[in-house]
Amino acid sequence: MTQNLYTFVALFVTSFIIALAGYPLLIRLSAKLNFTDKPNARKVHKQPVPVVGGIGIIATLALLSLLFPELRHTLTANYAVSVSLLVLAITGVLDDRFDISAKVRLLIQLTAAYAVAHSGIRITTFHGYMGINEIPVGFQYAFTIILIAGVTNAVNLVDGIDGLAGSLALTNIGVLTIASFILGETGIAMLLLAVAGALLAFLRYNWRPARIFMGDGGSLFLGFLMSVTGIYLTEVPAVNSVVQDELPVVLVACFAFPVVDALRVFAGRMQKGRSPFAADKTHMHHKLIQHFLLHNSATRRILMLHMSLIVGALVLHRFISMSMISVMLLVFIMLYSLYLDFAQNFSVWYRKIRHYEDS
Amino acid sequence: MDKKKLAIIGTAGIPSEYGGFETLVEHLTYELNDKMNMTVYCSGKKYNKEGRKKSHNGARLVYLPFHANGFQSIIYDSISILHAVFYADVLLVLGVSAGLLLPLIRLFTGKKIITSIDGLEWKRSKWNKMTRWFLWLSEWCAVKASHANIADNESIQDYTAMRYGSLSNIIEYGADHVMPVKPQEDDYTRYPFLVRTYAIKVCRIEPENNIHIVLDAFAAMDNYNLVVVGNWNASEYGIALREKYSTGKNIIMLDPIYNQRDINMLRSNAVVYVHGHSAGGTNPSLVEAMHLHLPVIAFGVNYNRTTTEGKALYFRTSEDLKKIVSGVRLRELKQTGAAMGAIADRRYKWSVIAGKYLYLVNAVCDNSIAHNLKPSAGRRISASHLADIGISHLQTTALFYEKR
Repeated sequence: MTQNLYTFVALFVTSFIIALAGYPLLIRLSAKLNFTDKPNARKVHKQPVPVVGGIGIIATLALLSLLFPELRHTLTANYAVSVSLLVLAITGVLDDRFDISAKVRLLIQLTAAYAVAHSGIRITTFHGYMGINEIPVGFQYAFTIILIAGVTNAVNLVDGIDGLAGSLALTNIGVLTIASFILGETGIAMLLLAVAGALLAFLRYNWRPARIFMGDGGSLFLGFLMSVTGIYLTEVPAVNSVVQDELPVVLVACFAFPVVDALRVFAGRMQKGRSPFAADKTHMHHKLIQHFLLHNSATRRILMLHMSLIVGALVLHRFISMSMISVMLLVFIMLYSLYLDFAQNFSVWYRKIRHYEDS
Repeated sequence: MDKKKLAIIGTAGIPSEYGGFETLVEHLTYELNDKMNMTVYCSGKKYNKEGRKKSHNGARLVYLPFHANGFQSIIYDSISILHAVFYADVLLVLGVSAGLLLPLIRLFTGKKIITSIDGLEWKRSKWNKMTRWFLWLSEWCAVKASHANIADNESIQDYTAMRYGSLSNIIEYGADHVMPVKPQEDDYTRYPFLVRTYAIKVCRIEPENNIHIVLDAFAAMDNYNLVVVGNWNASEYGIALREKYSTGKNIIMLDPIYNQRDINMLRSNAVVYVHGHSAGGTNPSLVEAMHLHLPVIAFGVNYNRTTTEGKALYFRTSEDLKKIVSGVRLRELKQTGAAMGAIADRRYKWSVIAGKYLYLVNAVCDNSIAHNLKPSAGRRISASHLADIGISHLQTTALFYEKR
């Protein structure tokens, strides 16, 4: 086991170093290949930024699988997952470069999710949530596909300000890594650690002022990875029944923020009579940078919120059922959004009146 | 027309010594006691049990054991409102502390509510963030729930129009309770500076009254005298200012003077009145100075400009103030003073103000004073249809607060 510990650490550190060294090269390449995100009226950034985050993570992962046989083993164990990850990453990268239609992207995601579900990674039981346990196979497929596609897209949507998607993903991957260790799933742990190392290096370049973006390649890849890993871990035969109970709640809390925020934004857009996919600036991170005006403050706020949701869910689960906790998470995030609107309205009026008084 | 029953809520009570709202209520009861049945809620903390009157100026007094200001004002106002609902026709609520309660009152009782927004309380920096948010929300509820609201200044009317789309009624304060007083022999012994020409400023010692700017300007001008009357020892700000500027020969800092005659005398004998208030609304001290025909040098905020109708002198920094004081000539001051006096005689008389209140109370009983600023055609008919008929202007009327 000690030998394995060194392997894990070595994997993480190597991943970090490769990515750290690799990103500057990718930045220089990106200009030649026209891989930059150009700003427009709606986007938050003002200068073109290379969108190489996803490529970096994939490349690092590929290099590491050559160096670490255990990692190679994990990746080859389930071709559906690895191929889907690769396909999604490529789709994302192509979308960053050539702007693929959203319908095509969605189709690819659904196909990938179906492939994964078909390979055996599905949600088979609700663990007593709302009184349901085993569910019929058709529902298993449907539910798994919806979950994977939903989380992937939610993570994609949350990539709006510097450091946000990366930090959230890193937190979630950290939680998943811990869970996989406790459950003895060392293969999964290796995969997650490899990605975590590259992600940490990415964040160093992505934090404000961002020199690279993750792009759709990165966010689709990470969202898919996290959702599939999460589902896999909940389905592992009960080695440690404590974790088995806690894991679903913790995973719900891990993805509560991106998913609830995305749903809230869709609902808001539909209420205004627009399509839910029409772009606007009503995400939580938009509201926060309007209020704080600094990406770092906003990202830190959201990260704090996110981590307290996870810890809170874990603690509350001792006393309250998972159904209650899910509802509380939803309500809390909605209330937080209302609070931000209120504070913003107040600030706007304050400034307006000050200006009016002094004129 | 039978007499309406009016409940006046939100003041510390009458008989009053100082305080804008308190003086207002005192004069309302004096002027209107034969036209309306009035009840005034007073704070038991301010009036001791022994000296309490049952009625004053014909108005019934009801005492509540809470402070009228500060945090307790929420409970004070709320209980007053709940008590008044049982007998009154109209509730006149001065101040928005109990604003959150008013929507319920409007919904469940048939009583008419008139709210008076006393400046923009939520904006004042003396409150912490939570208090400001509470006041902001209370103000919103109070204005939306009341049948009519009162602004004491055109600028406040603009604000409520912008924010709530409501048309506030402008009712200011009266000032003819102050009288010019000629100094007597013993006044010169008590206040030796009366022989000199001096500028005077009477206010609460708070940072938003910009006393530091005024003191800073006069400290640099030795030959112009300044008398400031206020509660210096009530705050650290005041104590610090007193320490810093008391050495100046031309600056005289006096503690609060409650004797009405004395303060009138000091003011009427001054050559100019300096007004540094930057918080919202028409300040009673300013209109009183205008009534005394004093030329006014006021802080250049839109509320002061509207109170003085743009005819006073305005400053924003101590540099401005220095320029004005050293540059102005006596004749110009006299003209400004006459202008101020003319405005005060026209607008700031208690008989005029009380008449406006009487009209408003009676009007609000008959119907809810319309809140909408845009013509109803513009609101109800679609833009395309208005364009077809050729009257699109009804949808985009220029509103009175959009100054060109």
